[in-house]
Amino acid sequence: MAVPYRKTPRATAMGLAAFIDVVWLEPDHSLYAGLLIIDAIGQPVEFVHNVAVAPQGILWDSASSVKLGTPRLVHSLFDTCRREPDLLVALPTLGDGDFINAEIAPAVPFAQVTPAQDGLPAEWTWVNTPPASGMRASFVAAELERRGLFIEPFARLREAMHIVYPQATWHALDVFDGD
Amino acid sequence: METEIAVAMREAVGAYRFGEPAATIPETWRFGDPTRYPIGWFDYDASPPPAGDMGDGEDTSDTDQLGLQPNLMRTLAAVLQAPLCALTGVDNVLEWPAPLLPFQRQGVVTLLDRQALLLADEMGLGKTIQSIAAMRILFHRADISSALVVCPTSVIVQWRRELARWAPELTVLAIHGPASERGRLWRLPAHVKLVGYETLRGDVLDHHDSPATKKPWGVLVLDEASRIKNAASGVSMACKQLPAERRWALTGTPVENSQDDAASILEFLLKPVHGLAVQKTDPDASLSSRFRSHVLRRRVNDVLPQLPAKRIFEIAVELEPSQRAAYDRAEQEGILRLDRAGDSVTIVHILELISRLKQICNFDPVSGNSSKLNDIREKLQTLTAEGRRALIFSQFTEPKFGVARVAEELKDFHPLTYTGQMTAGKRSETLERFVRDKTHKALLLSLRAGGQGLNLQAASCVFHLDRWWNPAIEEQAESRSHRLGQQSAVTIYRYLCVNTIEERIDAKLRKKREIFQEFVDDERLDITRSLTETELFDLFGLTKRRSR
Repeated sequence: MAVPYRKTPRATAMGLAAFIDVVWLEPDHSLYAGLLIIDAIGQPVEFVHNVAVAPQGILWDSASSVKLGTPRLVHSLFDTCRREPDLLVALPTLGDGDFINAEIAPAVPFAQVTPAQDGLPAEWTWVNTPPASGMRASFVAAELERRGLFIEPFARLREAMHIVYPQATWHALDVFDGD
Repeated sequence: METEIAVAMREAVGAYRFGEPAATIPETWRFGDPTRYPIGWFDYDASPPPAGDMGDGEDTSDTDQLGLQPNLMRTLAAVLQAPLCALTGVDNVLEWPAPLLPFQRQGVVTLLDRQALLLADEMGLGKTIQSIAAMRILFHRADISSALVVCPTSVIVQWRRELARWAPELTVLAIHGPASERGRLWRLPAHVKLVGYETLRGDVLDHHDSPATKKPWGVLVLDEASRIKNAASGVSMACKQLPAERRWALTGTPVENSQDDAASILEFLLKPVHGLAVQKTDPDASLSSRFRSHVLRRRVNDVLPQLPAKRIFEIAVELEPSQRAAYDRAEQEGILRLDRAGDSVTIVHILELISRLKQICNFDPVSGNSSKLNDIREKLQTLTAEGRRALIFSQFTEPKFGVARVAEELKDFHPLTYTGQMTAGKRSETLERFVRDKTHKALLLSLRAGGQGLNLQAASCVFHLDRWWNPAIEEQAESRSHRLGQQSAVTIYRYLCVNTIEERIDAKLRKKREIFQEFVDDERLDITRSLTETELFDLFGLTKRRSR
């Protein structure tokens, strides 16, 4: 007996997306990074995290520390994960397109998601050329959009980071920039 | 002109590229070692499951090669699960009455992904809700077109209620009544059919051409699956004759006495869609390891430590047939008497009738049958097997309907009683015995005497045999167990009988509470304060004739 439906293709065959979150906590003088790989329907596959403590002193203000530490931290996550994502997703706080191209140098399509704010919906922008329609990255992106999973995985990722770094001064963040 | 800082920054940032030597980062930086957690154990990796153990034995399934902490793995696996709406694939059309807890979402995802799974969560973690949510998603994905839930007859009402709440668009049909009627019901279309174990046994084993075995069910769910632990029993054989594409077994105690219990459940789970042969897994694997690969089990203390430690379940039961007859007779006679009394009827008469009917909801005065007690007995068997102990509250102390009667009926659990009729010394001695002697699995208390001032953290389950309908008083009673020093999550069971005065009062108060809660967060309502005289008369279809 049928109820209204639409058939769902096998999520694993449609590709994987990696959500990256890097947070600078000033009181800890540290960068915390998390990587969550999910399949096309949002199911988690891998979670990797790492931390970097910046040196303190006049040479290293917050902005400098973030710029310097982020690329290596992000690469350490990708070096560790076993799955190869078809698509990378980050918040605008990770850095602008030039920074990402120069320092992260992604080999797969990279998108940035601006959280909804001031009545405007969440916005998805490609850092470089969007993937061609036949690419797995394109399938994954379309499926994530259809399921409302542009921003939501960042909340899961941040919750997991709270769990693995319970001592971090999370309260120093006023708002979750993925909300 | 570039400052010294800018030059240092440019050199440092500009020098670093992926793959280049890390030496470009000043040594004063301290980088940690990245840690990886494989999360999707069931489909993606050969990694061990994040949860899975048997009975009360040591949990060894996930002390993995990565050296990760099992509890942390479990917690992460739970919080990283996708929201249910993402899994439906139907543009988020499904709405849920409440958010599922992370470990419950993990349970749903696992059910969705497995053709055969024993969901063996401890009592109180919502096995029913998880299986309904998974079932609902499967219907909406059109992965299934039918489902059969086999459960103890006493919980069919509960399944109906939960299905109505968690999957309201699915049609539900309970198979009951005389054989000819059941034959008709089996053939009627419905998304979900519910049947009791004994009814199923009759319908499958006594009829070679039973409609229940004609077509494979999309999902076949065995609730309280320990009912099939005896492989030679009729119930067990009947369940294993049912063809199904997916088989889920639900029980908090998959292994009660011996490994044979597990073997029978495993045999059910691994039966192929068609045919009678049992699907073979790895013949060299021990029963334990084969079983474990099909089990998802979470413990209350593992998954609820940082969450509200009090879980409340409202249990609706049908009266036993003799109870129903006694109840109907008493209600009809009572109403007739009140009606005949005319203007002389007061609110006291109404409350007396309510009290009388509540007593019958506890026990049939003639046969002593009690559907509430049957359910409590069944739950206690599971809970005590998990090492938990219970407080059972009733407002009645009479030998026929209250605490004393329950103590007699539950004597297998070596209960103690605590009522206001006992001397202070005797009461104190009783409490001491309960705390110190764990062979006493239950303490029966009258709500008035035992509802306040006691510390009974030795028990982690609270049953309300009957309702006081005053949340404050009930919460006080529950706080005997759910208080500082309690090491475990506390499970509360509140009973009411369907199609009785209990259900009518509950419905009225619930409606009022909802209205009040919109305005006053902690509004306390009880029956005499919150229902007007007119409303109390209306419970029996009577009209309040004049001001009393």
